[in-house]
Amino acid sequence: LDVTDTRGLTVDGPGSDSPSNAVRMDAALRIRDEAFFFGPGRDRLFGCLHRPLGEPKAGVVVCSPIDAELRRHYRKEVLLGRNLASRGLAVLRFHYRGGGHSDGDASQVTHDSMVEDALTASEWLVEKTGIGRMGLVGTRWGAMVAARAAQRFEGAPLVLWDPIVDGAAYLREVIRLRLMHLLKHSGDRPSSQALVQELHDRGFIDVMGDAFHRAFYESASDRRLEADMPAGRAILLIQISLDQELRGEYVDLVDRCRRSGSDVAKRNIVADVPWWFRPVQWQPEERRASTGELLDATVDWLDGWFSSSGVGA
Amino acid sequence: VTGPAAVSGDETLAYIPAGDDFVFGVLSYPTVQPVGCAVVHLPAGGAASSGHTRETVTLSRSLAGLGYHSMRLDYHGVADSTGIAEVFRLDQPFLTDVNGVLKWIDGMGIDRFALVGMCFGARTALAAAAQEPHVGLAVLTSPPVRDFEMGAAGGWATSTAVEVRGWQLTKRTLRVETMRNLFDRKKRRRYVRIAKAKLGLVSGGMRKRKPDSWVSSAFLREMSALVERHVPTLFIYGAEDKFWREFELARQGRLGRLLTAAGDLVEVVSIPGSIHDGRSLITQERTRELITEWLSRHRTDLPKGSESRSAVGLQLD
Repeated sequence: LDVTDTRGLTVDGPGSDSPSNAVRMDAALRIRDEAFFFGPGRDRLFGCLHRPLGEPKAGVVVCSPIDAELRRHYRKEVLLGRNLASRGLAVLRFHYRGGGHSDGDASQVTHDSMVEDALTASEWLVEKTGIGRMGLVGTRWGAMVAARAAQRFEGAPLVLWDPIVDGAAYLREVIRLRLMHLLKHSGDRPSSQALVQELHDRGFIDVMGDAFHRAFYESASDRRLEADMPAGRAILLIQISLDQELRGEYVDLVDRCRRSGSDVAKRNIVADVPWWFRPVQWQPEERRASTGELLDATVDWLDGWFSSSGVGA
Repeated sequence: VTGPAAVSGDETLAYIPAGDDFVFGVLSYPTVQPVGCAVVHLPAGGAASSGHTRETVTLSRSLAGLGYHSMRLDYHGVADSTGIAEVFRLDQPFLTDVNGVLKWIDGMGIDRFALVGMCFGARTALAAAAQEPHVGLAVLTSPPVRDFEMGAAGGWATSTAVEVRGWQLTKRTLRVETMRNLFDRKKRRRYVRIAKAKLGLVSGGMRKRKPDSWVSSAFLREMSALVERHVPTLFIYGAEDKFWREFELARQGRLGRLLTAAGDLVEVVSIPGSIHDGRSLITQERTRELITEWLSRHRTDLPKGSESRSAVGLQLD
């Protein structure tokens, strides 16, 4: 994959739908990027559509992770969108309500509202591009969102990047991050229960500069990925970690999905740093071997699936 | 007059040509009578304009309620922009990106600008403000006063060497714990780096006869240009950040003389906690309040960027 060539770009004037849209054409990749706000309600979503210059053969909706993980994966998802578009797929990335450039109040965000947003994005993509088939990609918590949204689209393939499998375990990890931060910066050592109590009382806690809200916490704590995984799908599960072997929770997930009739491909990409760690040393994603491997694996799999399969949304 | 914060309906999205690349930006339009000035937000190195806890989005939209046009952007190679950002060096600010954006806004008939930047973005704002006469206000949050590459090995060693005095370093070296640590290869290498950095600073300072030779000459030159042009400037630091300690040390030298000469033109605020090294929601909110209050205060007396102003005749050396 060539994710580096951005020359030969031209701007295509104002977008087709609204003068407030941003549009650019990429002559090298033969794609068009369009950024816009969309959605039916008062609070609109920010979206970015990457599409081929010709008719797209299918569509993909990308469900992003949240907070620190969003920052860590943002550029990867942009590169994924552009590369999938260069293979003939229309890709929609979006920001959840209450996050990023979208409207809305972060304190109102719940797992259900995120799924609603993913469905809004999916329906928008189908309506605007006329695609007949669709897949979803979800990263970390976004995988939980993508899995549930995929239930609405019969036969849609699903790509999971290092998915959260157990909501409660994820929330414990978030609380632990807060504890580590407090210990490092103030020497305080409150218990996990005290932090959860603070979350309930104040409505949020500060997790390394991100507001972690009660509404999301309450909606997320009993979620399990396996419960939302649609049956009989093509699934690509990619683990991104320091581990050489697939983690036990993913081995179990793969087994369960196969038992429910899904065709699961799995891949382990060994990254240089853990997902939650923002490396001090800057290195552009375009130069990271692990990012190249991740994009290649995802693009080849989705492109292969849509090229060989006639079924879908 | 303060109006409501902007929402997506008050915003335009754009891919803006900047050199070989396209910089992605979001412009919030004023929700009240426009003051005729655009605030351009320059993020920290590698950070997306959608930001850490959306602080740039929130700030940008609330400034629209003060009558400012407000533009947040992704540097080339970051988030939704095109290109590759190979390196973030403080002595190589992304002026091409900023110039592209200012030109784009200028094309809309707005030719007065306020630059608001964080860390690398603050240094980029400073460099751009120094060369662009249409910049009339500058807010610099946590700008490092040294030049280094983001995340470069040894950057922390120089930082320690700047902060710790020679006699303190000698005292620390003679501690039993330090002696014991010398058997640890990793720690030994760390000590050697700090010692080398300290020697470099001391010898460099002696050679140039300037004890603050570690302070970026570009930083001083650009700050001097802003003072000469009478550009109101706000510095914001977190009191617990190392960049604040370095700023305080730098003030003991040429930077201090420059700020004294600037008088009320330059405001320096340090807030409790950390803005840069370990950010919290409280410090983010306080920073946002400070910027909003300061820009609110200055919207009535916005200097015209193109207006010629008398120099104050500063001599740094």
